[in-house]
Amino acid sequence: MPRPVHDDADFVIVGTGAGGATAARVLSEAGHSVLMLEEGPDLRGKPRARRLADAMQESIRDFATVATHGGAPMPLLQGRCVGGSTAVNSGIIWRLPDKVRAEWTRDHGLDLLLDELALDTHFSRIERELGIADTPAENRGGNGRLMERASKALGLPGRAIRRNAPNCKGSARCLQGCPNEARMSMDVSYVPRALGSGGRLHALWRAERVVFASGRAIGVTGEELDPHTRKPVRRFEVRARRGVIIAAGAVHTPLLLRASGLTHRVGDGFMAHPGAAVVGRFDEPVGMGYGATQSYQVPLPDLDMKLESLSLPPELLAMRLPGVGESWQRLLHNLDYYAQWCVVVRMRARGRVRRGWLGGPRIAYRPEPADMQRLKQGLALLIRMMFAAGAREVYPGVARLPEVITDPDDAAWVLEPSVRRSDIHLMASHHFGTAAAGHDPRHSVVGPALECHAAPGLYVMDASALPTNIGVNPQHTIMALVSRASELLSNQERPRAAA
Amino acid sequence: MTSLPEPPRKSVAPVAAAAAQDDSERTGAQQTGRGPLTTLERRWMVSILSAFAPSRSRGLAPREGEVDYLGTAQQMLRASTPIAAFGLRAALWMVALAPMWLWGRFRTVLDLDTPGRTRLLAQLVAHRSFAVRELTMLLKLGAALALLGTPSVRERSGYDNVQPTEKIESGVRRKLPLAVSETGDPVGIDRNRGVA
Repeated sequence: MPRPVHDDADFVIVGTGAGGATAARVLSEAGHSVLMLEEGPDLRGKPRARRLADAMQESIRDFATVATHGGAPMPLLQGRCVGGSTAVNSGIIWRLPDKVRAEWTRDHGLDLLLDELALDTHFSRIERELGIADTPAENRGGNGRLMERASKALGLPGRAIRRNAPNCKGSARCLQGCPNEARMSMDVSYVPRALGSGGRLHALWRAERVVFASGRAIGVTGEELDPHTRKPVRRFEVRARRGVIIAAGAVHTPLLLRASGLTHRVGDGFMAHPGAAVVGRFDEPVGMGYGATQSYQVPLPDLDMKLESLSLPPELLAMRLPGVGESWQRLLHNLDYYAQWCVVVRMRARGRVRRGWLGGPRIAYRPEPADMQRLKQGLALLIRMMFAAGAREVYPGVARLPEVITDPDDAAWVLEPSVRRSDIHLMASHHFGTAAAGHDPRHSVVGPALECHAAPGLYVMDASALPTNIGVNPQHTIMALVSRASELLSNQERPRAAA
Repeated sequence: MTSLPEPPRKSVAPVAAAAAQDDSERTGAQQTGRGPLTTLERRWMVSILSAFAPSRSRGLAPREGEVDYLGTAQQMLRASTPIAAFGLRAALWMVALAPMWLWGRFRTVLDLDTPGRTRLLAQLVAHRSFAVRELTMLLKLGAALALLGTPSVRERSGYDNVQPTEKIESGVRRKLPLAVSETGDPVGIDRNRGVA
C-alpha cells in the first residue's frame, strides 16, 4: 500500500449525517477550519439509481443487512454516503418532545445543552433553513390520502407529516436518494454550506481510530477506499488542532471509540424505534409510486407508538406480498392497487453494540414483551384502518397467521399471545444511546457539552449521545443539539484561536 | 502536513461494475461467504430465484431470460455484511437440498421441474421453523429485487401507472366499529374523543 497521506484542520469530523454536517456547518461558519471524513461516496449532483438494488449498493450501509442479534434478527437501515442517513430517509421532522427535554435536564444534568430559549432558537433556525413544513395535499399520494381517510373514519388524531422537502415533486423515491435533490438532506444543505465557508470533505475515507497525545484527542487515522471496489487504497492520518468530532451514527460511533481505547459504557444502552407494516389491496388505484414516500401519520405518543404511511419501491412491495409462483404473480400484476402503512414503537428495550468476530458490528438487542404487545396493538389498529379506508383484503405479514385477511374483526388475531416476536418482520431505522450524554462520568460517555469524559478534545455529536429513547424521528433533535453544542464549542475555542 | 486534493468522484456503476469485481474479490471475501458463487451454486441460484415467478404462469410472468437473477444475487452477496452473505449462501444450500431433508427424496432442486420447485418454495416460505422461513424469504427478496428491478417487468407491473391520486378523496368513506379484541380496545381509543 502507498505511503499514508496527511492532512490537518482545526476540527476533524467523522461522518456527514445530521450530526456531522451540522457541526461542520456551525464551526466552519464561525471561522474554524473543518475537515469532514465520510466513509461513503459523494453522490451529490449525480443521477440516482432507480433500480433498488443499485440504489442500496450506492448509499445504504451493507445493503441494509446489518441486523441485531438476540432472537429474531432485525435489520437496521443506515445511510452510507455524503449526508448519511438523512440522504436516504423520508425527511420527517420532529422537535424534541418537552417531556423528554425535562427528563434529560432533571435526570442527566444536561441543563446547559438544553437551555430552553437557546435550543428553541436552534430548532427554529434549522426549520427555516431546511424549509420544514407539513406535506401539502398535492404531495400526499394515494397511500397518504388513504391513511387520512382511515384516520378520519376511525376518529384518530391523524395529520400530515412535517418534512424538510420544500421542493418535493412527489417522486416517492426518498429511500433510494431523492432524484431531484428536493429533500434538504445534509448532502444538499449543510454539507454544501460548510464547504462554502471553507470546510473540506474527503468522501470514501473510513476512520478507524482516534489518535491521542497526553490523553487529548489530536487526530484520526484510517483508510481511503477505492470508489468501485470499496477496498482500501492507502492509509491517512489527519491531525485536529482543536478537536475531533465523531458523528458516525449510533452503531459505528461506539465501534470507533472502542477501537480507540474508550470502553467505559461505550456501546451500552443501544435503543431503537423498531417498526412493522401491513399492506392492503384496494379496488381503486392507489399509486404508491407517486407522492412523498411518507406523507401522513397518526402519532399516539401516550401509547409510545406512531402510525405512518410508507410507500415502498416496487421491489420491496413485491417482496412484501404473500405467496410463491402463480399466487404471488397474480398479486404482482397490479402493483398500483396497494397501500402500505407502518407502526413504529418507542421501545423500552436496551441493547449493546460491540465489534463482531468478522469485523462488523454485533448488536445485541431484544424487544421486551411490553414492547411487542404495543407493536401488536399498532398492527391490529393498522389492519382495521386499512379496512376503514376501503381495502378489499389486507396482508398482515405475520407468520403463522393467514396471509390474507378480509374481515376487520380478524385484526384481533395479531393480538393473540401465540403470535411471537419471530413471527413479525421488524426493521429499525432510528438508533440511539450508545455514547450517552450526562453529567456523571460513571453513567455516561460524554458530558453536557458532548465532550468525552475520558478524553478531552474528543466529542460525540450524533444520536449516540441521546441518553434515552425520544419516541420521535431523531434528525431534528440531533441537529439542534449539535448546533447548540458546536456553538458552545466554537465560543470556547475562539479566545484560544485569537490568542 | 499538506493539503490533499479531492478524491476522484466516480459513480458506482451498478451491475456492470459489480460484475467486474468478481475476480478481484476472490481472496479475502471467500473466507467470509462473500466470494463468487461456484458453477453449481450459480445453477442452483438461477433455478431457485426464477421459480418464485415462473415464466409460463398467470399474473406478472417474465419472459425467458428477461430477468438477471444471477447478477442480482451476486450483487447482494458482495454488498452484504459477511454474516448476511453467509446467510444467503446458507439459504441457497438449504433450498437446493430441500428435496432431501423436506421430502426425503435423493434429489436436488435441479432435478425438479419448475412447478416442483415452486411447490418446494411454497412449503419452505411457510415452514414452521423461523430459520427455514427467513432464509427462504431472503431468496424471495433476491427474486423480487431482480424481477421488479428489470425495467420491462416493472413497466408491466403497473406500479408506475399514471398518477391516480385525484380519485382518492381523503374524506370518510366507510365507518367501522372500533372494537378489536376480547381484551377490549387495543389502543385506548375513546369512541367520542378519538385516542386519549
